[in-house]
Amino acid sequence: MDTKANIIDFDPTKCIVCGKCAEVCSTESCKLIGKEYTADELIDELNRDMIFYEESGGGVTFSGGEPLLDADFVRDVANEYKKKGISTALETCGQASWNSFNRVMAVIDWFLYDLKFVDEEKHRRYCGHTNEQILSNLIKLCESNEGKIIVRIPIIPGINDSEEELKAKGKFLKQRKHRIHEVHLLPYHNLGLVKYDNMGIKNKMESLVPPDSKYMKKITEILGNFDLTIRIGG
Amino acid sequence: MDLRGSTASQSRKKWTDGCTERINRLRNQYWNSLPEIDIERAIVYTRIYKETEGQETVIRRAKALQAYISEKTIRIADDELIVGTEGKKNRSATVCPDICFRWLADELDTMSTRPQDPYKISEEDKRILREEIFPYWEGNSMEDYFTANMDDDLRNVGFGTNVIFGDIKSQSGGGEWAVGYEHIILKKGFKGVQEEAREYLKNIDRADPESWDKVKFYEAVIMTCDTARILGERYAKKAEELAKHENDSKRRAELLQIAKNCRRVPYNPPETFQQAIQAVWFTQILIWAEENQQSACIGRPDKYLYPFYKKEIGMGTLSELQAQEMLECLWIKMAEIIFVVSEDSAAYYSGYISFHGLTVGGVDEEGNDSVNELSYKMLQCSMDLRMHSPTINVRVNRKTPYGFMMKICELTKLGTGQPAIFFDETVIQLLQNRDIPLRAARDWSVSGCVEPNVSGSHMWAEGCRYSYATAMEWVLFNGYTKYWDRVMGVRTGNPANFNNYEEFEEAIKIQLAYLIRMSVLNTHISEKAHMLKLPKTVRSICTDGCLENGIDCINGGAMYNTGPGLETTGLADLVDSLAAIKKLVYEKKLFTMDQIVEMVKADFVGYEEQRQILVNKVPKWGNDNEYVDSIAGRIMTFCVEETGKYKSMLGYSFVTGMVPVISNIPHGEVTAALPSGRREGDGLADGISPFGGYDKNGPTAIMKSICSVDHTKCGCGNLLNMKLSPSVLNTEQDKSNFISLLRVEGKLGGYHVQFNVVNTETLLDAQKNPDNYRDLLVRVAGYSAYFTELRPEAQQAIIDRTELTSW
Repeated sequence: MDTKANIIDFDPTKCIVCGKCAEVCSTESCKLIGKEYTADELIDELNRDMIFYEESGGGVTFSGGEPLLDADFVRDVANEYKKKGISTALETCGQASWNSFNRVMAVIDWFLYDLKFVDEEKHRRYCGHTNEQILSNLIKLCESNEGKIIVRIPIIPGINDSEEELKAKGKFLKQRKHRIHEVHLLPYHNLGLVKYDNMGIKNKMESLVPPDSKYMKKITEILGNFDLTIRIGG
Repeated sequence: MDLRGSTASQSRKKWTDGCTERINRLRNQYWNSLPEIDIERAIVYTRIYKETEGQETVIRRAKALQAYISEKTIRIADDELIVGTEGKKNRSATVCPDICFRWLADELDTMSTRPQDPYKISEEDKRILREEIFPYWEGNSMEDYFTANMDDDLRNVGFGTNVIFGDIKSQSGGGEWAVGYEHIILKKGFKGVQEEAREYLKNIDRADPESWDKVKFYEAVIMTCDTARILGERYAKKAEELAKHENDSKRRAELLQIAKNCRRVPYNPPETFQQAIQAVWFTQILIWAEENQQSACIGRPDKYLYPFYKKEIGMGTLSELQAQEMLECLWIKMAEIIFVVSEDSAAYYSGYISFHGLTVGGVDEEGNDSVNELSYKMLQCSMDLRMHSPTINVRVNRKTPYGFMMKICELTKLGTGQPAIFFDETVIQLLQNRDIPLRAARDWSVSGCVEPNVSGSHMWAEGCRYSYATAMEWVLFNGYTKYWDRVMGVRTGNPANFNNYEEFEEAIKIQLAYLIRMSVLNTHISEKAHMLKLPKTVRSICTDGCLENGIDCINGGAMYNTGPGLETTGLADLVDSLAAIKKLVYEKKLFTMDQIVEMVKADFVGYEEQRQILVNKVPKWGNDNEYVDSIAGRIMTFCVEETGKYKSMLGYSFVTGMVPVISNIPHGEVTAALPSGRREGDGLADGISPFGGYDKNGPTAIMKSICSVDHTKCGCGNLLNMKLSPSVLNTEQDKSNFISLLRVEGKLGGYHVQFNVVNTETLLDAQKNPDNYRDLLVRVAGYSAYFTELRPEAQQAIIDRTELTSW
């Protein structure tokens, strides 16, 4: 870190997340995102709003990153709320061991499962990895009868919105429709662009335009032929 | 004559329709008229006072009121179904030199162009005031008594300083009460009151020396009841006259009905829905004619108008639309009343606001839910009209039906700043703590911004104002006020000599105790001034207990008496500053006390990095953080207890509450920079709200912080402002979340909340292009105002209030 006249040059590739720059930054423009908690500490923090969960019928949602990479932690915290009758939800991309699903299944009421591509080659090209485990986990989850499932499909114009890909998704989901509570279509938005700036990374798809409602209607119609309950937005 | 903005000469872009075209026309009449000084009352009162020298004040005032009502201009405008103006026309700014006249005299040539709330005035009226009116009142007005009897210590800290502000009671009528419609006016009429007064008078032995004041009181009451009859009859005559020359048969029939109504009310109790509303309106006119004041609220009209409505709907003599229309006529009438204030006071009460309010919803005396069809209709009035007045307050509790909660949501979403929401369980407990019995407490309504009262209770709610932040400045500067460049507070010594945080906090308490004491002294003078100069016969007639006791409400005749209120603001500023000192000076030792004093003295010039640390590295009020919330708890407990040690002129304990109106701006102007990171002269936090921008954990955290204070011990109530983006109230789920938020605030013991639902872009645009936003209503404090009529500092304060964008 090089400091000259109060300006800090920041090389993100060298950052070890020690947090020292954030400590000294008085305006909080250097900020450490995230905080470490033990399960008990997190439960204490969440309990502060318990009266709101009870009144509104709301609950606790685990998100990330990929929360299943800390399956035991998720299980310990979710268990606390399951006991109290507070609803629990887990957002996952599905890329985790089936064992980690197993460990949380008993205490998660809702699985919000991302489905980006059914097509293996495209998934590899745009997400950098095969989708084999993602699909097999979803199949097993559907077979398991544990928890309610909402499948979330991000709609990225020009990338995963071809009629072919949509129909493949439709077919795949229709086979398991008795286990799929709803399908949520999430239109691409650009609220996350600021993260690229924060990390000093160039966004190679800066020119992508969020789809409008007419467009989303078309997408919905295509998927509508597969006997699924569809919602636009999450 | 150049009126700033010339707002009225442009036609207002209308957002929405009234329930009928008539209502649209009446609303246009309102918007196209400018507030104008009216001296009819001043002329009559001056003449009558001259003619009655030596007589008892209460009699002189009853005679003056009767003469004014008998002689004033009577006007019925086209389309009106409910008639009557307090002055000679709607939006009259009636001046009362008997109350005060000095600011009026000083501002005659500037009032039509002043930055906030200008009043039109004719050159001829200025001449009459200068030559014929002011000379008589020199040394005779209530205000003159107040200023003549203020000692030097009090003057040093409280006269024209904005540190302690008690002007409002020294420059206006009593105000802040709930008029007794249900048990008095609608039940007995002024005739019934008069008969009772005659009966009481008959049974008094005039030779009993104790009876002197009572005799005078009842004589004034009897005379004033005749005045009420005269008011009705004059309007009846006018309506009949207009009917004679009216070609349109429909309008002629309406005028004849109006004449019939006015022959009946307010002297006799009403028989129909329209008469009941007319009785209310005539009474309000008498109240405001007696004294120009703020906040003579009409109580719970959904409750007391209901029997009239139900009967007529059942008989088929009234349709739902007619009922809605008549209520909307009343709404527009309520907006017409002007609370006349000096330029200084306009900074505290911006937006032509008279705090003319009403309360809907809640429970009845048995504790059963009292929401009815009129409750919904009244919310609908505010939704249809979207005017800054009346202030509509809703009572919510565990039994409030979901449908009504949804209606509240719909009104909130419109972004007019209405309604203000109150939590019954907390308020009822608060009133019981003020020794009001449970059944009466359940019948409470708002009087003022947020102060709770029942008809039959008397409280000098806004006795005096101070801000918590002043205590911080005085400890840091050893009693010195930077803005006024003199010592005004207590000399608690060099703060660098305090050994620990506890000693520092003790010094703060010493300063707070001093602020409280001086505020009490200020209030005593205004109480005394009113007792001597302004007995209030109309108000006493309408306050349960006074007639039975034979005592004016100003002398303690009401059924329930509470001591005056000290109304404060800036809790966040004080506790955020204390947290900063505790953490950074005493715990982390990042700064010395001398450095803190240096920084705030310099208004952080050259200390921006340090200011950022103070802002960002210390926990703040409104984030559900124990570190700072516990400080707030101690400060509040101290202030409540300290205030409660003092007694009013009538022997009742003082109470307190965080009810800023918009005082956080003028208080802020004279307050130095603070260790919370706030800059010199900037507005303070309003009421119990977090400082704008310092709450970062969402609405649930704000509520948790606010509810860590025991509201039931704050006799005036506490005001909480929250700003929401309209996107937060879009879907059914959003509204359901909103309702949950409200229910939780109730469960947590919250007292009140009000929402501004406008996004920042809209407000910024309205600043730049006011012509496009003439209709833009925002919530100021206990009321709403047209954004473009607020001066820039007040506009900025509203913009700065943190905008919550998600649940």
